This record gives sequence, C-alpha cells and structure tokens, in this order.
Amino acid sequence: MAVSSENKNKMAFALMVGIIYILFGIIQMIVGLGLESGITDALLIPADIFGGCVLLVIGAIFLYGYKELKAGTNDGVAFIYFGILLSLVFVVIYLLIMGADALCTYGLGMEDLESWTPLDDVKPGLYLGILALMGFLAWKDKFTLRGVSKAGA
Amino acid sequence: MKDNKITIALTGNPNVGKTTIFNAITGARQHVGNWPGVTVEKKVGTRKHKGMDLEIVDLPGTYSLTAYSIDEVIARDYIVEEKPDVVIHIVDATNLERNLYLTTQLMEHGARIVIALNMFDLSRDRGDQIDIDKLSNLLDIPIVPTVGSTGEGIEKLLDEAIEEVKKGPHHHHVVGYGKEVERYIGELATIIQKDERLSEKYPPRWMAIKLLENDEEVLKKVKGSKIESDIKDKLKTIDTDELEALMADKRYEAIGAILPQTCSTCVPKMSVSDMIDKVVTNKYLGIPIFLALMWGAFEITFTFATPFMEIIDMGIGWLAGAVSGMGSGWLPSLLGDGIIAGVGAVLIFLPNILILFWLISLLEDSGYLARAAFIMDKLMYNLGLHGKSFIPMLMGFGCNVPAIMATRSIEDRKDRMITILVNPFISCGARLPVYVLLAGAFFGRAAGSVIFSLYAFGILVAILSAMLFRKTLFKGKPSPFIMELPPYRLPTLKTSVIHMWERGQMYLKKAGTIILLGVVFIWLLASLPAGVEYGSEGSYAGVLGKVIAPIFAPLGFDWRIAVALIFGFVAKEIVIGGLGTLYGVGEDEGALSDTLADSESSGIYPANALGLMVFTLLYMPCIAAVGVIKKETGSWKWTLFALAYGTILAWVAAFIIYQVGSALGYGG
Repeated sequence: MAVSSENKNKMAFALMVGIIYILFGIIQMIVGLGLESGITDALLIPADIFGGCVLLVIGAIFLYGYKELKAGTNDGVAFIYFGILLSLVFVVIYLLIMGADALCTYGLGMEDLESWTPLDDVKPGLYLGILALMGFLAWKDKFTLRGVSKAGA
Repeated sequence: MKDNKITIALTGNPNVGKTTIFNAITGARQHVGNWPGVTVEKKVGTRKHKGMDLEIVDLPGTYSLTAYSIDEVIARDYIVEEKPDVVIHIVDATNLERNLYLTTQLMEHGARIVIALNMFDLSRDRGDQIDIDKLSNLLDIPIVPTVGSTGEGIEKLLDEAIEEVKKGPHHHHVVGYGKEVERYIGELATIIQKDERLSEKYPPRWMAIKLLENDEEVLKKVKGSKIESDIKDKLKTIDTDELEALMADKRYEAIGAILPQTCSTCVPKMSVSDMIDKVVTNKYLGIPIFLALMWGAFEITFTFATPFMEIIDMGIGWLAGAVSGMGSGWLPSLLGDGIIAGVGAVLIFLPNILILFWLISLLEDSGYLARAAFIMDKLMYNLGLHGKSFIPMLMGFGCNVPAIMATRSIEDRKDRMITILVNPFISCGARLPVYVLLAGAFFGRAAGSVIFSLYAFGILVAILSAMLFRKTLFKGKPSPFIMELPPYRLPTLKTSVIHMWERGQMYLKKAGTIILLGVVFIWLLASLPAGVEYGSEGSYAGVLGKVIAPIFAPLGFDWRIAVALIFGFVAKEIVIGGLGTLYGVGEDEGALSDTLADSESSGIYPANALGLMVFTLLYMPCIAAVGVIKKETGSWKWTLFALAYGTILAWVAAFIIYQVGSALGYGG
C-alpha cells in the first residue's frame, strides 16, 4: 500500500524519536544498576531504573506507530500522537518536580537540598521532550478535543 | 394484534435512550441515567394512540441477539419467545455503524421493525447528513428521527409502528455469509424444518445461524427435540470456533456497504476517543502505559508534596516549641509527646493524600481508569480473577471498606469471595503516610519509585493470592465479563478538586477523631505507671512491647515498632502516630523522618524500613475493613482467615526482606 507524504514524515519522526527514547531508556536503566561513566554524567542521565522504563515505554509507542504505518495501517498515527502526548506529560511531571525542589531550596531553605541546582533535575525524560514538542507543533491541529465533553457536565 | 391491542417492544444498544423514549411514550417517570445498564429488567407501560391500545415493553439494552449476559437474555427471549407485534429499534443516530449491527440480527429473526433514529438533534448539530429515505429503502424498514428528551418524532414513531403491524407478512433482506457458511446454514435449516414445533416457533434460518454461533440458549432449545441428534451430528462436522467472528465481520461488511450511500459523514472515522483507545488498550502497550502513568503519579505525589509537607512540619515544630515552653508535667507531655507528636506526624502527610487523590480523580474522571480495568481484564481472567474484580481493586487504592462493599456487583459467589479476600492487599490511602515517611527517610530521591513498587507489590500479592485461592479454596473458572467503555471526558478542575477535598476531609476527620484517641491511648501507655520515664521499657507500652517484641525481632522491629503496629489495627495511620509518640519527636522541632533516619539511635536501617513498609502493606486490615469483610462474607471463618493469611504473609515477606537486606549490608 502506498504511504502518503504526510505519513512518510510521521514514520521518519516516529522511527527517529522511538530509537532515541529506547536508547536513552536502556542507558538510564543500566546507570540505575550502578554502571555510570563520564558520558552518562555528561548526558545528565540519572540512576533511575523506573524512569528508564518510562523512556522505553514511550520509545516503544513511537516504534509501534512506525510499524503500523509501514504496514499500511493508518491507525499508526494514533500511536505517534499518543507517544508525543505521553512524552509531554512526563515533561510536565519533571518540571513540577523541578519547581518543587526549587521551592524547597530557594523558598524554604531545606537542608537536604541546600546544594541543589536546577541542573540536578534535568534528565532525558525532560530534554528529549523537545523532540516531542517539535512533533506536537508540527501536527498541533490534530490534537483536538472536539467531541470530548467535560466530566460531570 | 388482538382487539385493537398492540404490543410494542423497545430494544436497542445500552445507553441509546430507550428509557427516555419509553417515558416519552407512556408518560412514566422511570429513572434515566447517562450510563449503560439503567434498564436491568423489562418494564411495561400503556398508551392509547389513534384508537389503539398500545402496550409498551422497555427491554434491557443489548448489542446483539446472541445473548451473553442476563440482561441480554431477557431482551432476546422477549423478542424471540413473546413475539411482540412490532419492535421499535432505538438507534443512536451518532453511532450508526455499531447500532445497525443489532438491526441486521432483528432482520434475520424476521421481526417487524420500526427504527427510531434517536439523539437525532446531536447528530444534526454535529453536521451529520443522513439520507433517511434512502437508508429506509435500503433496509426496507420505516425510520423515524426522534429526540427522546423533547418528545420530537414520538407521535410519528407510534403512527409508523401501527402501520407496520397492519402490513401483511413481511420478508426482510438478510446478510449473506458467504458460500461455505450459507451451505451450513441451509443444511441446518433443513434439519430444523423437520421439527414442526421448533420451526413454527423460531425461524429456521435464524436458528441455524445461532447454532453456528454456539449460542447456548438456542442449543438448549434443541435439546430433547426429535432433531437433537441430527443437529449434533451436523455441528460435529463443522468447525464453529471461528464462525461467530466471521459472521460478525459479514454483518459489519453489510453495514459498511449501506452507510456510505446514506450518510457521507457517518462513515467511520477515527475519533479522538478511538485514537486514544487504540493505544491505551493495545495488548502489548496497554499495561506498560498504565504502569508508567501510575509511576508518574507517585513521583509527583512524593516530590511535589515535599515543600507543602515542610510548611506543615514548620507549623507543627512551632506548636511543639510553644508547648515545651509550658514546662514539665502531664499536660505539656500529653500535648507535646502525645497529641502534637502523634497527630502532627499524621497531618504532615495531608499534601501527599491530596495530590495522589487529585491525580487519581483526573484519571478516573477522564475515563482512563475504565480502560485500565479493560486491559487488566484478560490478564486477570487468565489468572483466575473475574474481570469485575479490578473495579473494587482500583477503589481499594482509596479505601478498602467501600471497595469490599463494591464486590456486590460480582454475581458469582466464588468470584466475589476471592475478590473480598484479596482486596486488603491493595494499598489504601491510610498506608501511604507510612510509605512516604519511611521511603523519604531511607531511600532519598528513589522514594517515589519505592512507593510505586509497594503499590505494584500489593497488586502482585493480590493476584497471586487470587490464583492460589482459585486453585485450592474456590475451584472453578471465573465467569466472563462484558464491559462497555465510557466516553472520554475532559476532567474539570472543579470536580477533581471536589474529589480531592472529599479525601482530604476524610483524612483530617480521621486525624481529629480515631487517630487522636489512638495516640492519646498510646501516650497513656507510654506515661504510666506514674513516675516512670516517658516511653521507657518500664512503661506499660514498654511492657506490652517487650511481650510481643520476640515475634517481631526476626524482622528487625524493636518494641516501639511492635506497639505501633499493634495499634495500627485500629487505623493504619496510627502506625505513624504511634511511632511519633513513642519516639517522642514532639519535644523538638526535628521531624519524625529525621529521628528514624538516624539509624544508630532508632535501630531502623533500609532493610527493616522496607520490611516495615511491606508489613504495613500486607498485615491484617484495619478494624473497619475487618467489619465489612465479616458483613460481606457473612462468615467469621473467612474473616479470621483474611486476618491470619495477611498477617502470616506480611511476617514472612518482612522476614525475607530483612534477612536478605542484612546479608547484603543494608540491615545495620
């Protein structure tokens, strides 16, 4: 089945972002098991196995979308849009955590966090979100809530 | 039709507005809900229309004439056995494809049908352009657009129903199932025609189709008839396993051929809801996505709450400082060591409770949690749990008491008993403060992940226990579960804040009542007999602790933890309140967390801290949960079993964690 040019772009995006997320997820899990190196420090990859699993899940969603589109199933776009949304949800989560830590350090002067800097909370789940944001901006007209009513209405 | 009397059955998928139409026709005031399953038994009303006496029967919602649930059996049996003069099929105009599936089956049965194209206003407002005349011609069925809530189209609907009855014998178009299946249908129909009793009562083609679909109710009808052996012999030669799905595909193909000719905008197009469902209910990705979202929720619960906890802690510290200025004596001790240390230690976790339940309410209000139940259903069924069990399990995250009561929706006794017995392993909100305190003190930045793991461990224990009970105490297979997913909705700030506040209010109320009483009682035990050093081994608390300490010693718990756990039976938060009181943290401004984290003086290390969290997760449920288990099982035997099973499991798990942790150097 022929793939439309718009879907070709989405496939390329999903493949690239999916592989990057999977790669970072695996590295973050390995670091979580105690195998750190200078490169992982430079990439701000924390020792966080669960956070690594989340990156793997996001990567898998993108790659599944790629696989579906490649097989000619248009449903694949749903996986790509959802992958973008889930990545952005985790960006928001990490930003909230950073905000809370900033409040503890600069607002409340908590001893536990006195040496904390914003860079301590920068991690792949946050900066890889830029890729997802690019996808969101490229296809933002597809992220509509039309037809979804408000809860309790 | 007898003596100007016409019987009209109202049928249709769940939640298409049957009860609203019934009320509009009969003037009744039956309860109408915006969820499937409002009508669980048939209701009868009457109406006079154009000189005719109409008897209107409102049937439970059904997706097809192959009956799976009791509601569907009621609906199907009425149409098939009672043979109403006319069936008004209420179709949701905004979801023609799914609704017309039942139409194809009604046509197959040969019933006289009039279609009420209900919710036509919604369809019109969203711009659907349905060519009603053409759809009516293609189906060869009268169609009347209706709006049940305003009564629009109801009079015309009744006119058409009466006209339909007056028509002579009618032969509907039928779906063709392909050469091979049609041959099977023909052969079975020929056999059925040999039995006059059966063939007069049921259309042979319809009966043959149901037999090929392995419809148990229809198989029962054949049982005992003179053609039973012939039918059985014939069915043995046919591989019917795949036929039901194949025949459903053919029906949808027929609908797919009709729809594009009659409604250009009704051709199925993926909606936002469909798109999300494609992903979150995917058989490979659904569960990982659920776990990722829950982990994210626990990360926020722990980290984002920290500054707010610190602010409350400062307030409690200020109060403790003010009380210590009152000098010595029983009153400052009661206020400082008892109430401020105990209740304060519990209050500090209010932000965690508020945040977690706000997040859970967002997931619930959006409709996502229903999807979570859906994706867990298959897994749970394979593990011996009923799909409906997941709803009470999800409710257990809030409180096990209403969760255990919610098992009433499970019809099968064995399924229900298993669900009741494993529900206490689902971590309720009362246990969260224990996790937050100990995970924060001993696992630092990994605290969110530790708390998430404890919740996941609770679910795992519940599932494994269910498997064990299914294989030993309650042998058999769980009954199947059909579930309709509610539409996605955008959570509003107002409703989610209301849900969050309900939880928070409950927590505060508990802190001011049962927890306050509990910590005052522990303070009394720690202060008496008169003259004894507060909280020393010579106090009543110390004596009690020393008696029970040997049981807990292999787990690395000292007598203070043992006493706190014993009183945790009243309410799990008292474990925290008790530790606060017995470790006497009310006298200074240091948080209980800091006191416990000082392993040298507290005797608590990462291994026994984790063991204590797991023990709190698994050991006997609180007194309110025990009461409701007794009430719902109606048996002291099963209530005591739940208490003993959980406590033994908790002891063994904490023992393994402490011993292995110690061997690895985490036990002090």
